[in-house]
Amino acid sequence: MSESTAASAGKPPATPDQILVMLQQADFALPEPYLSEIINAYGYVQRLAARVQRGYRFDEEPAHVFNPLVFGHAGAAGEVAK
Amino acid sequence: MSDDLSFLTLAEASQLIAARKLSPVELAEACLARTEAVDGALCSFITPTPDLARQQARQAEADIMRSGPRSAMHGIPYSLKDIYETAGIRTTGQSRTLADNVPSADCHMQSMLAKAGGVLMGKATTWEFAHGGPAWDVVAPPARNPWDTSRTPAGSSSGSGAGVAAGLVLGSMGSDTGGSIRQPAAACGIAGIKPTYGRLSRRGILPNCFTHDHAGPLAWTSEDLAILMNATAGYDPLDPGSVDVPVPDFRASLNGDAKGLVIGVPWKWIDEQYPVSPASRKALAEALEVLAGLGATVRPIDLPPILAFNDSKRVIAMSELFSIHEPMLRTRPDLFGRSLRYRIMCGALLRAEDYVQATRMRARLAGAVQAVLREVDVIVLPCAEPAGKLEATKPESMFDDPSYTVPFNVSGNPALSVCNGFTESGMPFSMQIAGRLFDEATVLRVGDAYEKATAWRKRRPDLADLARQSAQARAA
Repeated sequence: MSESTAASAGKPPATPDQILVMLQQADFALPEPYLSEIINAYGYVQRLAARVQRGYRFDEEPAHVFNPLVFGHAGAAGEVAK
Repeated sequence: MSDDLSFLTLAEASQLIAARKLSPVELAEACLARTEAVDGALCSFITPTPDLARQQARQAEADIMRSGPRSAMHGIPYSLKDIYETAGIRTTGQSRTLADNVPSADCHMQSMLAKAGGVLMGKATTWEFAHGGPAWDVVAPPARNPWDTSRTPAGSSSGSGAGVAAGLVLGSMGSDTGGSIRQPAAACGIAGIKPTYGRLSRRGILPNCFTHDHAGPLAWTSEDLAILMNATAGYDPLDPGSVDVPVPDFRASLNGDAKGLVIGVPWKWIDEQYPVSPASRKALAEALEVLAGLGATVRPIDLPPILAFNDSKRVIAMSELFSIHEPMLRTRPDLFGRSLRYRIMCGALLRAEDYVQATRMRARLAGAVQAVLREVDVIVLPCAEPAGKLEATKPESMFDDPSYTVPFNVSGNPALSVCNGFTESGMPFSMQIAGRLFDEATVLRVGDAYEKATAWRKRRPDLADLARQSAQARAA
């Protein structure tokens, strides 16, 4: 099993065991060689996510806002499970 | 003769067809002959459609002889990136997960191009789901750069870029989520525009990242792009991202000058935050002098750090991509190429909070770009470094490196790549021109004026050499 390859900003990189726990919590069971791939990639992703700016005002909306008018035709594409 | 025909620009071919000096059948046959001769070396088509092309060309010829062309695209050979769904024609997204996928309906873009009278030559090679890098463990091998086949045509609209540059088609429709129209245009020495988010419909195009996906054209010149934009732009109520705004005649804005325009240049990005090579910087400086000579005023501008745009986009993209492909990633990860799988599996481990904060970050970044574009008419900057070797992408560059194209996917502004020279080894340099929301007309005006003031559009790849390589590939 390969080691995680990148540290996050200001924090040590997650260990393979910690990543395994996160995968369990995500209900994402992967066999080899894919397990080693995700452990290897997560180091970069952890560092990337740590660079995302935090600390917004309460009223700062995300970049996409729901517009109910544009989903008038969505029912034709798929149904909501009941 | 065939070489002369398929190296016509789209605008030239259109004019000859309208004057009944060029037959759409003759033009399609020239493009098909060239494809037969050189595409073994380029791999720009994943699914060519020669029979359909001949049928549509004959129909176009008959229609034009009867009542004249119904648009400037009538009788023009084009291709579609293989994420555009096409009725009865395999659409794989270059993924083994869709190796046998034959849609029952056309995407909206194909419907519009068919209505305009275009001649579909086939489906162009891409990267897996328009997101993985060059890969050899997917449906077909990656496309190659016609200026040097050991180099990448970039991506993910790779086959579109390579096919236009080699004259196999006169235009192609690609998609751009982080630069996938502009970077192949840059690598292949052609023009490519990512329109404003919402300008062209995405309906029926396999998604990469819903909130950053743009459809758009690639062609030899900015004028050719204006013709393709005229055929494809417009509100589509069935695309939730489509915006109902007036559509201008994009070609009407091309007046050959840049008089009165103010150009902003983000020098801090170029010199400090993500420095370009001295050769690319020199090419940009020379291009800015040309634009100043055409009547523009050039001044520096400040934008947020370039890496912030990439960080926001990548977190959003990884989350959306994982959501799209989750069922197959959980059950059949082996069906994905390693390049795409490596990039998106970690979407399972990003938190909802990361995604929402990245979208709030996007709102700030987009606002900063619009504020700058209230002070200047366009932003000019490099698009990408000249094409490097065709090889698998290094992991760190997938997550840590910025790019000059991503900021305008984040902000949604239109952005064009044009060729602004060649390296000593003959590879194209590229320049990017970004404009105000829904002001593709000004962006194309600047690109067109620059192209007409310089000689770069006269240079083409060496087809004889490509034909030799293609014959060798077939023999092997």
